[in-house]
Amino acid sequence: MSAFARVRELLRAELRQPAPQQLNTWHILGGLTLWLLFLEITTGILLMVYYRPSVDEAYESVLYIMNDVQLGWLVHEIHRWGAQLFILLVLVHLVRVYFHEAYRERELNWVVGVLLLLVVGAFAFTGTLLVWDQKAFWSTDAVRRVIAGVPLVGRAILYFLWGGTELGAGALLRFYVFHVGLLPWVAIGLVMAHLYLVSRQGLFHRTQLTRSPQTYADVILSGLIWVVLSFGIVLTLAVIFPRELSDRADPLTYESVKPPWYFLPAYGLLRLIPKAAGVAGAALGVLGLLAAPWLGRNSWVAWGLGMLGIAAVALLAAYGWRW
Amino acid sequence: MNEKEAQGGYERRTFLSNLLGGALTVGVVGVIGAILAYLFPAERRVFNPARRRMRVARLDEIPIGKGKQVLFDGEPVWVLHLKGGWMALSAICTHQGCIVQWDEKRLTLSCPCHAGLFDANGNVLAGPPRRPLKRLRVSTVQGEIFIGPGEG
Repeated sequence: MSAFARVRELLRAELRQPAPQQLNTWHILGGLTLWLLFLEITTGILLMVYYRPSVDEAYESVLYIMNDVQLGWLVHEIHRWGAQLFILLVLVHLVRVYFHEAYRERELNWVVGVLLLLVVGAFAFTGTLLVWDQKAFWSTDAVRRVIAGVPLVGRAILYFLWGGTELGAGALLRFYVFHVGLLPWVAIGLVMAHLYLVSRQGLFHRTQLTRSPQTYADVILSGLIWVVLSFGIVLTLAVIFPRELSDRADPLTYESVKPPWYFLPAYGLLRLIPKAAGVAGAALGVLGLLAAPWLGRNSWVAWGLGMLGIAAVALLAAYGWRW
Repeated sequence: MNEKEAQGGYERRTFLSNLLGGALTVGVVGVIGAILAYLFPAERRVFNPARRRMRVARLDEIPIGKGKQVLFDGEPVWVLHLKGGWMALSAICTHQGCIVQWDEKRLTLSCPCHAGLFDANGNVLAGPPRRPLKRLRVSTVQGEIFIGPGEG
């Protein structure tokens, strides 16, 4: 038997393993985010071929990608819409795990997952600036003003993340380095830890497992269908709703910009209460999310806290969107 | 289940798995083709700001001591014919961004807003500006003047 045939036989044997009956569409969400991460990394590497992270060339090079490179607009739009869907699916995955109480006895993996959520937020935040248009510039500058207002550590954070107290060439290069040089490795490391813990701890409690007719081949096939479907959704959105860049970033012409939808809750919070308190509130929210498995030891308490959290986030987002 | 049905089921399964494999192959080939098209440099439109340039005038259109104001990349630029050669300077004052004017008699550029004064090389002579005017590259090709971004 050739090596290829042997590998195929081994894979087939694995695929024929019976899968737990409870395994359903909800459990595909996590894998689907992994696929979108792969899509983002692939399109991101492609964009790096033509992108130039300097104040003089960033905007022009993005325009060049969108207008002159063959299929450049498509790669750019897939990267942008893929990121939107990625964030959405990560959030749905988090809510799914929370309300299925899948974090029980997997507290560490919950924490890794929340850290991954923060990394995704950092990806979105640093990536937005790179196109260097007015919208990107002023939405990032709004965050700079908030951080500058944080007592004691605010300026130190700015020096580290922005490379100074102003948004300029140094900040653009740093954001680029974070976006393509640092965050991918952090994300890949955390994803590996996340997956290792999943395979180590299993999807279900041993006591819950029942015999079922479905095999892992069925699960993977339906997962594949979702992969193709999500790619189709991203492609459709990319073709039908491409984004026009606004004007080139101009530090002298202020423009009031709303943050993207995924930052609306934080934006609403900062609008609602004074800046320093708002930052503290957002930090508390993240800490609460990290500590969720320990806060909700009782199922009813966990359910109530979850509902309260979602209601609070939704209200803050609505407030931020409205004002 | 008799043998014939088993035979039919087997054929259907083979057909479906071939269909799936074929569809995946077509999809992967399509994606790889798209990536190759993306990576293939766009013909004669390679992004290179250093090579971008704009025609200003014929050499004999601007006598020595005269200047011509043009728009380059949306930015006003003074192209000056000096005794020593050509000079292209951004017309945007480095103080508050007003447009500087060329004075043919004194060979200076003056800013109407806050009385900033620059010499014909863009260096500050007087007034509130601290940095010299931005210089652009000038080249003469076949009796015509071109300007482009970057010092020179």
